[in-house]
Amino acid sequence: MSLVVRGVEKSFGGVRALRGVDFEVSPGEIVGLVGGNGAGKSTLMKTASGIHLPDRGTVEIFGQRPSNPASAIALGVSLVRQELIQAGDLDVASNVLLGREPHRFGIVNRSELYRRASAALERVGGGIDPRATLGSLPPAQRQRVEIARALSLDAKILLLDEPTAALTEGDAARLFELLRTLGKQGIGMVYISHRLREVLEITDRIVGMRDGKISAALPTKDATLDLLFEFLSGATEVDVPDPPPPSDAVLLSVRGRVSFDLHAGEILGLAGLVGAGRTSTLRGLFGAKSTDLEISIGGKRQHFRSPRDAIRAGFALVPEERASQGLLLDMQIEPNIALAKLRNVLLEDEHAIALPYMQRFGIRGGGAARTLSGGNQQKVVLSKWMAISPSILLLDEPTRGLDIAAKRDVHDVVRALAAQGKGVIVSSSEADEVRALCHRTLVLGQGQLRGELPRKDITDSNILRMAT
Amino acid sequence: MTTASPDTLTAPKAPPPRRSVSITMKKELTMFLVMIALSIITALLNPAFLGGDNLRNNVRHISLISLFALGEAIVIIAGGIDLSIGSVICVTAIATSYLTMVQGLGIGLAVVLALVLALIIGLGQGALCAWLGLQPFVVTLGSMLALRGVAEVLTGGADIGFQGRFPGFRFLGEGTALGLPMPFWFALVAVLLTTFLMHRTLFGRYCYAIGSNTEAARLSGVPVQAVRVVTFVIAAALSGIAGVLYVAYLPTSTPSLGSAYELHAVAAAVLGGCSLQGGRGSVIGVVIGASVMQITFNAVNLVGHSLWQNVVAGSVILVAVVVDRLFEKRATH
Repeated sequence: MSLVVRGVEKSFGGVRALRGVDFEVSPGEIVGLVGGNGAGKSTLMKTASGIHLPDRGTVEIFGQRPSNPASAIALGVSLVRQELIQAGDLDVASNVLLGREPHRFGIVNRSELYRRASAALERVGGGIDPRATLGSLPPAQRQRVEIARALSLDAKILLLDEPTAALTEGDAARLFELLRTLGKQGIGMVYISHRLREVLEITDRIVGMRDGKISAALPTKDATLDLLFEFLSGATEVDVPDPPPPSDAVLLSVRGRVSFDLHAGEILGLAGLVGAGRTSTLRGLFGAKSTDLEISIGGKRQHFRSPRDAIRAGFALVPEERASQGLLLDMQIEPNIALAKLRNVLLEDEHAIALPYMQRFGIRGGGAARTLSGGNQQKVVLSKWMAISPSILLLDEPTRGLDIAAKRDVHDVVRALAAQGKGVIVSSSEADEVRALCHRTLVLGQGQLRGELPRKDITDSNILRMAT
Repeated sequence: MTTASPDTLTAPKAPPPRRSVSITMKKELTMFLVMIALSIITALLNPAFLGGDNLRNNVRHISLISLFALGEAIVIIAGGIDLSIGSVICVTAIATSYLTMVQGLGIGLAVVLALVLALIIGLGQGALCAWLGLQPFVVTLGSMLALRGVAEVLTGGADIGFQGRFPGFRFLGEGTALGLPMPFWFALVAVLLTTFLMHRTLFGRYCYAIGSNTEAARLSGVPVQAVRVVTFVIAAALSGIAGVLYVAYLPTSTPSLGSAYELHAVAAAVLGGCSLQGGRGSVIGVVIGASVMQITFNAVNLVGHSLWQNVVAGSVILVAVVVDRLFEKRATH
C-alpha cells in the first residue's frame, strides 16, 4: 500500500466533514472517488496531502505520517487541483520547478531549469514548449504542466480533483491515455469526478462517499452507470422530455462570424472544443469585450459598450468562472443576489430582494458567498439574474464542477425560464448537457460557426465531426 | 413562511438581519477597546492627558485626521489607493494663503478656489486610473511628488502666514463651539455624510462590490470606472477641506505641511478594519483608527519622548495587524 488512511475524523467548526474514513491506494491503481458536493471527497484529499491534519485517525504514506503539505509531497503524494492555481505570467519551465529552481547563490541556472523541466514535460507528452507563457496555454496543457510538476517532485501518488472539468472530451481522452501510462509506471492515483462515465472508463475500483463516510466500494468492472447514478442522487436525467417548442418571435439576431436568430422560449446550445470561441462569443454579446458581431434586438442594431448597456437591453450572463467573475465572495449572499437589481440612489432592502430566491433554492442567508458549496454559489449567480427578469439569458458552462443534484436544479431553472418565453443560450463542453437542455445547438470552431444540430442529433461524435 | 414556494427545501430558521452589510464589526470593536486601553495607560503615565486643553487638542487632530482618512478609506474600499492626500492637503493650504497674502484675493474666494483645485486634482487622478487603466498607486505617487513640488515652487520654499489677518477664517481652525474645536463639527458632518453614503446608498454598495471583485461587479452592470472616479474626487475634496482647516489652525502654510499624511490615512483606514485589497471597512472604523493614531502620537509626546513618535506609531500599526491576524487564524481553525 502506498497511501493508507485509517479511521480519519475531521471537523470544521461544528461541521463533521469526515467521520471515520478508511481508504487506501496501491501502486499503479486508479481509484475513483465519487459523492455529492459536501460528501467529504475534497476534505479527504486535503487530509491525505497534509493540508489538513486529522482530528482522529492516521494518514500514512509509505508508512510515514505527513505533518504538512511539504512533507506529504516529500513522501510522494501530490494534489493536482481542481482550480488550476499557477503562476500564469511565468513560463512553463518556471512553473514546473516553482520553488525548486536550480540555482547557485540565488542566481537561477536557466539552462539547467529548462533541461529539468523538459525531462518532466516529456513524461506527460503533448509537446509542450517549456518556454511558453503558461497563461497562454489551453487548460488541457496547463493541466499537463501541473502533472509534470508533480512528477518532477517524484510523486508516487497523484490526487486528481475534477481533472477533466475544464477539458473537452478529446482532451479528456488524451488525459486518460496519460493516466494509464502513469499507472503502468506504478503511480497510484485517486480520481475524483462528477462525470460518472469517465470514472467507469478510467478507474480500477470505485469508492463512494456520503456525509463524510465511505458508503460504497466496489471494483469498476462490477459497476454500472445506473448503479452510480442511483448511489449519487437516486435519480437520473437520462430521459428528459422534449422542451415545449419555442415561439416564432425572434428575440435576438446575430450576424457575422456566427449568425443565428434566437426565438422566445428557445434554448440554444453553443458546442465546440475549448478555444472554439464560445466564451468570447457570449462575452461579446454581453458587452464584456469588444466584438465584430452585429447584434440586433427587435430589428434594432445594438452597440454595447459595457455589460451595463447589455443588461439594460435585457441580457444576463452567468459567466464561466463562478468565483472570479460571478460572485463577490467575501460579501454576504443577499448583496450578491441583489447587486444587478439595485437601481435607486438609496440602497434598497437587499434581504427583501434576495429572500424569494434564497427560499426557492433553500439557501440560508447571512453568510459570505465564499462559504457556500459550488452548487449553491451557482444558484446565487442565477438568482442575481432571475431578480431582474432578463429577456435573454446567456450561460457559460453553467454546471461545471457541480454534483448531479445541483446540476439538475440549474437545468430546471433554465427550462422554467425558457417556458416563460425567455431566450436562453447555453455554452457547454458536455454534449450530455447540451442534449438534455437545448432545442438545437450551434457548433463553433476557431471562432466561426461550423454548423447546427437539431436536438435529436446532438451527440459527442456529431459535435466533434462538425467542430474539426 | 407563507411566502415560501412549494419547492422550498429548507426555510431559514431565523430571519437574517434585514439590512445586510458586507463586513462584521468585530475589527472595529477590537480597535475601539485598544483605543480605550491606550487612553487609560496614557492617563496613568501622565495625568496631563486628561487636561481640558490636551483633550480638546486631541479631538481637533482626530477630527482632521478623520477627514482625510475617510477619503482614503473610500478609495481603499473600492479597491484603489490614494498616495496624494498629504500633497493635496499641502497644496490647498498653500493655495489659500498664497491667493490671499500674495495675490490679494478675499479669503472666501481663496478657499473656494483652493477646494476647486482639490476637486480638479481628484478628477484628473480618477480619470487617469479609470479611463487609461493606470494603477492608482502609480498615478497618485506621481501627483504626490508633483504637487509637493508645486507647493515648493509657489512658496519659494518659505512659509506664508496670515500675519494676524482673517480672524473669522482662523476661527474655523482654532476656535471652539459648544466647547468642542471647530474641526470636530466639520468632521462630524463628514462622518455622518460618508456613513450615509457608504452604508445607505447604491454608490456605497458599488464601492464595496468593486473592491470585493471588480470583474464580477462589472459583469453585474456596476459602472466601475465612474464609481472609481468619484472615489478619487471625494478623497481629494475631503483632503482639500482638511488642508483649508489646517491653514486656518496653524495659521500659516509651509511646503512640508501634510508630509506622510497619506500614510497616516492608510494606517487609520487599516487600523479601522479596511483591507488594502478592497471590499472591507466601515466609516466608524476609520474614525476609531484615526483616534488610535492621534492618541498614540499624543501619548509619546506626553511621556516625553517625542522623537519616538513614529517608532511607537509604526509599532502600534504592526502590533494591531499581527494581533488581528492571530485572532482571525484562531477563529477559522
